[in-house]
Order: sequence, then structure tokens, then C-alpha cells
Amino acid sequence: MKKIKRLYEAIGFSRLIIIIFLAILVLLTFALGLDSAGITSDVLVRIGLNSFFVLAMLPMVECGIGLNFALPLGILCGQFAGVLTVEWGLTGIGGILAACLLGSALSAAVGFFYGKLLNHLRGSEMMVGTYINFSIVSLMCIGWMLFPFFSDSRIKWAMGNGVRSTITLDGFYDKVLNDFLAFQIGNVTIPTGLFLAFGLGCLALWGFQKSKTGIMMKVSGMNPMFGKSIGINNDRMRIMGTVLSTMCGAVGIVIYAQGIGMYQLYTAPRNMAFPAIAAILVGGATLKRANIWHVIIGLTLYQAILTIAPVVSAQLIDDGSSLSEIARVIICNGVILYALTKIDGRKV
Amino acid sequence: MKGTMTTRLKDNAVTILFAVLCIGSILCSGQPMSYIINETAARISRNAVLILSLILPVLCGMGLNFSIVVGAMAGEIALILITHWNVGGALGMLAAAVICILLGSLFGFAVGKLMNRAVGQEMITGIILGYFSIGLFDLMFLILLGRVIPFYDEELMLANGIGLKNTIAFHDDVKNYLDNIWRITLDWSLVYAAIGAVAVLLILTVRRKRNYGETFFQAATRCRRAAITAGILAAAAIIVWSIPALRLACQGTQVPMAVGIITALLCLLTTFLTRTKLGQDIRTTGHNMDVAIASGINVGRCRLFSIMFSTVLAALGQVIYLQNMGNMNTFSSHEQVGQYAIAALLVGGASIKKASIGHVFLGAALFHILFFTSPLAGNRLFGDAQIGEYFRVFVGYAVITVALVLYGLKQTAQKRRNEETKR
Amino acid sequence: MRNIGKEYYGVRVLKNVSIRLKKGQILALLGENGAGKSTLMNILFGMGVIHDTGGFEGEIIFEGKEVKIAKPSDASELGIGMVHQEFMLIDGYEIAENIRLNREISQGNILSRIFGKKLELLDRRAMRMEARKTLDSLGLEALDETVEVENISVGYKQFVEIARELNKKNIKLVVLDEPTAVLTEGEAKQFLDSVRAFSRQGISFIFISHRLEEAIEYADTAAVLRNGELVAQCSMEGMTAEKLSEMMIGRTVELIKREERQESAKTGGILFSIRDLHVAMPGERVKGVDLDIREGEILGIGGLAGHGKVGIANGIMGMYPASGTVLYRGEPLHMEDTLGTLKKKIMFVSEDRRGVGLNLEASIELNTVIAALRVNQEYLRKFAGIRFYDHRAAAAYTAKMIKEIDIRCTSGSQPCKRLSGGNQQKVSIAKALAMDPEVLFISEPTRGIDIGAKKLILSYLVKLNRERHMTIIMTSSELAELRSVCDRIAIVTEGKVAGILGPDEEEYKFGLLMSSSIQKKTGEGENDEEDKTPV
Repeated sequence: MKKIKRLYEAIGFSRLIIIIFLAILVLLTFALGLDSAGITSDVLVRIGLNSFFVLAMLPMVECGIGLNFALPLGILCGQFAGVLTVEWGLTGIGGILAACLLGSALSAAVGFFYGKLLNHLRGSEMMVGTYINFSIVSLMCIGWMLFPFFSDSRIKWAMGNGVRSTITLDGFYDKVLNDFLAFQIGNVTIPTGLFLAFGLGCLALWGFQKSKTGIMMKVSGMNPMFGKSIGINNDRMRIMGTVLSTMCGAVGIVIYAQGIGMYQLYTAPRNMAFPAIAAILVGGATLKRANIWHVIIGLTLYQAILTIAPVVSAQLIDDGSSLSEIARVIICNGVILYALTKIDGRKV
Repeated sequence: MKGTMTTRLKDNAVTILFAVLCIGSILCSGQPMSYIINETAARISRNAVLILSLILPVLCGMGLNFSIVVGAMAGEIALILITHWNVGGALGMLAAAVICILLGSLFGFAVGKLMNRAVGQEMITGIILGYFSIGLFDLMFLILLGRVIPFYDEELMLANGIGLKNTIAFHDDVKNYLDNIWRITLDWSLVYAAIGAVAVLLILTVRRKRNYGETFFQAATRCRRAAITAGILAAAAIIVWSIPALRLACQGTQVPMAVGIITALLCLLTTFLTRTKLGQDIRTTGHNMDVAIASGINVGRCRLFSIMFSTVLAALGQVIYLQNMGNMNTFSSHEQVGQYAIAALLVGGASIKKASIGHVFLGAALFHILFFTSPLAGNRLFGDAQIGEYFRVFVGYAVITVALVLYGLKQTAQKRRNEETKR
Repeated sequence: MRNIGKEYYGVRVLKNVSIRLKKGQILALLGENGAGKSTLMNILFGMGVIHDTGGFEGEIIFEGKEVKIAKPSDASELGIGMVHQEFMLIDGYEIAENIRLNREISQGNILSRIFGKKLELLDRRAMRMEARKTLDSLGLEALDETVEVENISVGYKQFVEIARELNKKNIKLVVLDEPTAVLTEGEAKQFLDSVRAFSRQGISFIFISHRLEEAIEYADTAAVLRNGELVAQCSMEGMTAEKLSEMMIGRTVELIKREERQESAKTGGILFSIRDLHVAMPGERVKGVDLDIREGEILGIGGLAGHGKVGIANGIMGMYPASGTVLYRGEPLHMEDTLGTLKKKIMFVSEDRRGVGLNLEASIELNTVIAALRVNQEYLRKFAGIRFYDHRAAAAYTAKMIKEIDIRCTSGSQPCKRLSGGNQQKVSIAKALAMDPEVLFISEPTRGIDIGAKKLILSYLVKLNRERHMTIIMTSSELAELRSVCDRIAIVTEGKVAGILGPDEEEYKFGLLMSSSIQKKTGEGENDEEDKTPV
């Protein structure tokens, strides 16, 4: 009995619900005789595509700020860089690298200022982050309408103002990473390039955690007063965490875009932070503590559900697509809500 | 004197900026005065109660209540039900109100309980809760209705008998019912409003005079807020009646008096509540929760009541709003309720910690003027209505962001000051 | 005769204490910090902490009857009120509203008759009149009851606090927790005079103070607590400050055997020269300390909690905003630059072991080496030009320290939160020693630690001093341990050094220094808080 209880505590309520839900879905795929190999391939691809968004949460939690509700700041930088690379006509891996580098540079600057702002707003980072996200995304909408940088006909609307709402990457770097060294096990396709990128990201962050700065950031995030007493500049650590997180967002959108074959502009990035947040929470992270394993586990569980649910529900009922969409909304926000009520604050 | 003037300007920077933006936008839009006044009056009347519902949680220190989305859903359920039962007219509205109060209290209770577990993070919890409840609403009325919940209505539901239609048109005795009971033109309604306000002022003054033994003039000046309201309304009436062009514009504007009276009554109820023992407890909680707990106030219950009241008002507000629209987008008309109401309240000069009825109306006017003129202005300036559209969305978000940031900065400064002055 | 008798047979904090107070009398409750005063008062109020930790033993007899006080509202129903040390006032409310907080006067109306009393409208006029009466009875005719509390001075806030208690109709007993600490001399006198006037009307007071002269002048009886035991409850008649302070401090038992006084402590050059140090540490403000520290000595800093002794080390190490000049080896020390100070081999072991001293979630190993890693770039190894954490070196050093100072743990990778208080303290010390410091500030090294660990830590400190010639500045609330270890002891009272004594001086002298009796004018430096005058 005690063992079961300890196991439950180790898994946690929301993770348990998600695992049960996923198990039911998996059983159903077999029961309904669905194409499990195809689904597995899809799950793998989606894990790879979303990996950097979830990784982005890590440094932010580590430095003590909490979850990054303003992840779209980085995403916007990445999109801007990506559209520029299309404008310049860069293709293949080179195009992706260029977009990542440029996006990282831009987002580092943006993250720096965002971090500076957050240092003055301790305690309300999540709320402020959410609204900074919303307002910057809508400001960028005006930006896309007015930017003078673009002239390519594949980017601009044929008529009227501004750039198209989706920029297709066909002929540039559509699925370049997905297909890089991809191979098949049975009927399951392994997107090697994607996982290579994910692995590199994990390795980089893991290395950072083991470096002197990483250790100092961790210590400062866990206990700022302790950090101060041994001469760590907490504000700088928080800024650094924000910058890293924002950069991950920029790289993340480039990888995501090459996978789905297009950049979705305008209001599309607005809600991109929430699934990433839900994913790392599902993995077992809290607002105060997160590690690489939380990222990997959470990403796998969350994306598996997101991929399998529509397929299964489409088989079960005729309006299955809306059911899975609704399930997505409920799971994503339910997980975040649950984490919010678990803040070790006061209860009244 | 100069110092207070600059702080005044600084404290109301958002409102002033908005007033300027509004005037600019009106001029750029090139619309006639009558159109502007007509639209403004219509939008204030249908949005006021929704915005009003935000006040109590602010006073209770819970910040801006993003979860009024839940209340709006309660209002929508009420409207769906009366459409299904085919009751309309006064009876239908009454039934809707009763359902609103019941469901609103129930939902509000649940929301409040949740908020009491997330002290200090109420706003972000409210936002996420809003999204979450939208998911639940969709699940309920798109998937379960007709499948699991036994319910059938050919008019409301999709052809296969499962889920509600995307748009629901209300019956004729519901559509604009409240608007049409009694409508008068704006020039006269201003006069009536002014007379009403003066009457309230007189009653208060006489009561005060009797209770406190003050002279008539003293008592009148003591009822400051009522006196200011009466003064503003009277001045507005005089201005409208003395400028022919303005009067002409006002004559073209119909004001739904029933909605106006309901709004006024709810405003009075809110004001009344803040002056009762309960209201004092709520304000104490909002000022300083530790002290409130130490002095024996049941903080949890105050917070719960504020949220419940807010949710009920939001439900009623959504009914007023939707009966004015005449139909509803079943799954999207509640999405942005919290967002717009909060932005409007902040534009009126409210903050995370303070809000009053004056902020509600000023904010409703300014925010909505910008809201409907900016696409027009965008069209004239850039030849593209889309830019104006994006602009108004941006402004809505930006207002809330600025309020949050300013409040956060102020709080940090306060904390620092407290630490330094503590003994 | 209505009297209150209380008996507790507490385990550790309070042992068999019984005090009695007659109606209309003023009782001065005296004792060092940690003597159990606040626990006693918490029990009287039925505060949640008491019941959460398993309740208490003994009984409370109030007005001849045994009463059960399970929560604060029970206490206030009985007519027991408290004036807290922290102001419990709402800044945005006017004075009248604060005085009637949660006891507002209200009038009925139609809605309240249907929905209950909560919907009654407030009667502000009646509230103001009530408040006015109480303020007048306190001799505060000049204070307008409609002014908001945020606009009045600290002294007036204290008056508003007590006005709130005295305004209660059934009030019979008021506890005052250091009420005069924030008042100027004139205000304190006015305050205590009105307290005495109220006691004549039959209200009893329990009065916690460290100003012994005040206590002697105004209280009828004194109850002295020491280490959770009642030393005596005696009449104030013919009492002197010396006698009281001796009762408070008591004879000390030597914790560790004193060695010969070392010569260097007297002859060593001046290492630190502190002039006019002010530190804005909440609850422990330092208000102008002048102090010289000699090389190679163990200097003790003693004094009561809240008087600023802990603030000195925190200010020098840059944990809280500080001003003043500190010369280290003749050169000015920049206090806000914590890293720079650490690099000068000046190290700090914080009094807040769990909050500041250690990172509880992290392992013993990380806690031990982190400071050296940060400051001296130790325990790192380069790989591809980036400095990575050197786990092997850190583990080796940790293992050595675990052995040397006997940290009881399963291994170096155990998280610190699983260790006992004594072992956590040892890790804090190991953390400091990893930097090989020349000067060690150590605050409250033995707080909440069992006696065995206590002895070990104290003798280890002496060993460090003798063998490594480390200068140690030890701050402690326990005079006994200061006297057994230190070469000189500075007593800090009300933010200033009241005096420096040798460890062998007589007990009562320490007590007198602490109780600020020999401070000449206490009200001097505090006029700056008088900037806001009521309208």
C-alpha cells in the first residue's frame, strides 16, 4: 500500500490522468485496427517539431522566474528571421541554419529587454508575460502589414498591403530536417535529423546546467537570498535565463516551420506558449522545478495524446475532429490550471 | 498645486491618451456626429453591466476578474433555455434572469473556490480558467448534447440532432426585447437621467440632514459622488440642448431606457454593497489580507462572495448584450468577453487595485469609440481596414499590459519602501 | 477578586510557568529572547501555531473560571486584546475605520432585514464618534479621526493600535508587545501614562518591554522568564534595574572549557574599523554602530532580538542596504559588492540557515563547494574552453569535511533538507571553510541545535581561531555561549553598540546594557520619523 502511495506521489495527479488517458487511446487504436505504424511516425515527428518550445521552459524555470508565458516573443523573432531567409532565397540546411542564427541573435536582444522588465515585476511574471505576449503578437500583426523588407511575390500578397498569412517553404527548406538521414524501422519512419536537432538542444542545455554559469543560475533560482550571500547577481541570472528561453523559442519555430512546410504568421503564434507549458507540466515539472527528463517525458506524453486523439475520435464519432480539438483545449488548460492551484502559497 | 496637477495627469495617463486617440480616430474616420453618438450610446448600454461586474473582485484585491467568461456562459445557457422553452417577453427575460442568478452563483462558487487555492495568482488563473471552461462548454454543447444529455430541439440543434448550431437566432419576443420596451431619444433621456440623479442626490441629502443634523448645503456637499454625477449629467443635458447641431445628432439616437434602468439599478446595488458591512470586509481584504485575517474577517468567504457576485452580474450582462445583438455565435461570443470588459474598465482609469462606477462608463465610452472608429480610420488613412482592425486588437491588449506593468512596478517600489521603513 | 492564573507544563519552550495578574494591574513580562514570552502570549491568544503543533499543557483561569481558548476570536470574546509589534492597521482607511475594524457600527435597512446583518449599511458618523471618544480618553485631542492612517506618524499608529483594543466594550486584558520601541521619549511617557489611567479603571495589562526603567516605573508586578521557566513573579516595589537584569540573565554554566586568554586578542592590530554603520535590515535595523575588530580575536556580538545585532554582519556582507564606512586592513570595504568582499577572504555564515545559509533542495556537496566555486573558481575543470563543474574534486573535499566536522549523513549527495539542524549548520560552516577565509562572520551558530552539536561547533570555532588564526565575529542571542568562547563581547541595543565587556564581567552588567537602561536619551535619533504630522 505504501509503495503504491509512493508511486502515486512520484507520478503526480496530472501525469497519472494523462497516462491513463493515453493508455486508453493506445488500446483503442489497436482495438479499432488503426494504422499504428503511421501514428507512431506522426508522434515522433511531432515530438521533434515541438521539442524546442518545451526546452525553452527549462532555463526560465531554472533561473527562478517560472514558466515562460511570453514564449511567442522568441517565436516572432524566429519567424521574422525565417521570412527574411525566404526573401533572400536561402535553401536547404543552410537556410535553416541562417534562420536559426539570425533568429537567435534577434531573440537574444528581445529576451534581454524582456528579462530586464521582469526583474522589476517579481511575483507577477506569468500574468505580465501572458499579456506582453498578446500585445506583441498583435503589434507584430500591424508590423507584417507595414514592413518594407519584403518584396518577393511568394511573401507579399498579390494585392493589398503586407505579407501573406502563411509563407510556404516549398522549394526552400520544407521538411529538410525531417528527411535528413531518415530511415525506416518496419513501417515506422524515424526523423533522424529532427531528433539530432532535439538531441543537440538537450545536450547544449544539459552542458549549460553543468557549467559554472549553469550551476550558479540553478542556485540563484532555487534560493535567491542564498545566491546573493555568495555573491551571485540574481538579476543577471534571471536575464540570462530569459534570453536562453527566448532563443529556444526562435530556434523552435524555425524547426517547427520546416516540419509543417510553412510559416504561419499574424495571430498564429499567440497561443503557442500554452501547449509547451502544459507539456512540461505533464512531464512532472512544477512552477519551481524542472529538468531535462520532465521535458522529454512531458513532450512524449503530450504529443502522443495530441496525435492519437484525433485519429481515434474520428473513428468513434462522426464529428471527431471537433471532439479532439475540445479535448486538446481541456487537457492543455486543465493541466496548467491544476499546476496553478498547487503553488505553495497560502490557502484561504 | 503644480505637483498634484502632474501626479493627476500621470495617474490618468491612460485615460487621457485614449481620449486623444478617440478624438483623432473620430476625425480620421470621417463619420457624422450622429453616427458616432448613436453607436456609442448603443455600445455603452449593452456593455456596461459586463464591465460593472469587474468591480467587486478588484475591491477585494483579486485583480481583474478574467473568469467572467464563465458568467457570460451562464447567461448564454439562460438564453438557450428560454429559446428552447419558447418563452419570451417579460416572462422570458425574468426566467433568464433567474437562471442567470442560479447558474451564475453556482459557477461563481466553483470559480471562487478555485481562486482561493491560487492566492496571489488570481488573474493568470482566471485567464486559464476561462480557456478551460470554454473547452468544457464546447464539450457540453457540441459533443454531449443530444448524445449523452437528452435534449432535442430542431431549431437550435444541428441536423443530426447532436450539438448546437453555430449561430442561434433568438425569437422575436426576445430579440431586442429590453431595448424596445421603452426607447426615447438621447436628448430627452439625458434630461431624465439628470432629473433622476438630482432626485437621488436630494433623497441622500435629506436623509443625511435628518440623521446627521447638518445644514442642507453641508449635506449636499458631503454626498460628493452623487453630487458630481448629478452635476455632470445636468451639464451634459444643458450642453446638448443649447447646441443645435449636437441636439440634432442626439435626436437621432434612441436610448433603451429599460436597459438603462437595469444598469442604473445594478450600479446602485454595487455601490450599496460597498457601503455595507460586507463591503467593508471586502475592502479590508483587498487592502491587506493579513490584517483582515488577524482582525477575524473571513477572508475566504469575502473573496468567494466577490467572485460569485461578479459572475452573476456577468451572466446578466451577457443576456443584455446578446438580446441587443439578436443572435449569438454559440461557441465564440463569450471568448473575448473578459478581455474587452477589462480593457474598457482600465481605459476608464481603473487599476488592478481600484475601480469605480465612473471608470465603468468613461471606459466603456472611450474604449468602444476607438473600437468602432479605428477600422474606419485605418481604411481612410492606409486604405486598409485590416490595419485598423489589428490596431484596435493591439490597443485592447496593450492597455491591459500597461496596467499590469505599472501595477507591478508600483508594487515592487512599495515593497522596497516597506522594507526600509519597517522597524 | 478576578484574577488570572495560568499554568503550563510545557516540554521545551515553557516549563511549568504560572503567572497571575489581578484586575486593574499592570504586569511586566520580562526575559531574554527565546525565554518563552511570545509563546506564552500565543497560548493566551489561542494562536494557530500553538494548536498546529500539538496544543499546550496546563490551564488558563480567567475571572475565576477555567477557559478554553482555541482560536484568537475566543480570546477577544473573553475580552483579551493584543497590541502587536507589527502594526495591524489598514493604511488606506481612516483612523475611525481602523479603530472599529471588523467591529463596524451599522444600521439596518430593507435588504439587511431579508439577507442578514452583513448587508447593513455602515454608520460612519457613529463610528467616528466612538473613535473620537477613545482617542480623547487617550489624551489625543489633536488627532483627527478622519485622517487616513498612512498619513500619520509611527507614534500615532501605536496609539491607534491601542485605541482599537480599548474601544472594545468588554475589554479586560490588553497585551502590549514592546509598545514603546518605536516611540520617542515624550510619546512613550504619554502612552504609558494613559495605560496607567486605563488600568485604574479596571483594565489589566501585560506589558512586554526591554526598557527596564519603564517597567519598574509603570508596572505593578514583574514576571521574569528565563529559558522557558519562570524565575520569579514579584512586586515592583523597591525593585532595581540591576536586580531585574540579573534575574533575566542568570548565572551561566560554562559550555566548553575556557583556555587561557590569548595574547593576540589584546595586541593584534585593528583589522576592521566600523564607523557609523547603518543597515536597513527589516526587523534588525542597525542605526549607527562604531566598532573596532582586532586581528585574531573572537569578538562576540550580543543583544536582544530586533535591536540590530544580526544586522551588522548582514550589512557588511551586502545582504541588506547599508551605509557608513568600514575599513578592512585600512582600506575601505564596499559593502554592496558581496563578491568583492568574499574575494578578500571574508566569509559569512548566516543566522538564517535554512533561508540564506543553505540551499536546502541541493546536495551537501553542492552547498559545500558552491561558494568556493563562485568566488575562487575552484572545483571547475575546463573542457572545450568552457568551465564545467568538477564533480570529482567537489566530492573529495566534501568527504573530507564530512569526516572532519562529523556531519551525520548518508553521503555527500544527500539533500540538505533531510539533515538535522546541527548537521545543516555544520554544512554551512564547511561551505565557509571551503573558501579558506581569514575572517569569519558567524551568526547564531547554535540556534535550534542540540547540545552535543553545540559543543562541537563552538570548540571547532575556537580551534579555527587558535590554529588557523582566523578572526571570528560571532553574533549570538545566547550570552552564555558568547561568554564561553569570545575574547570580547559587544552588546548592541537599539541599533547601537551599548558597550563592550570582557567575558568575565558580572552578569547584571550585560543585562543592563541590553535593557538600554544606561542609554542616556533614547529618543534622540528618532525624530526623523516625525516627518508627518497629523492634520
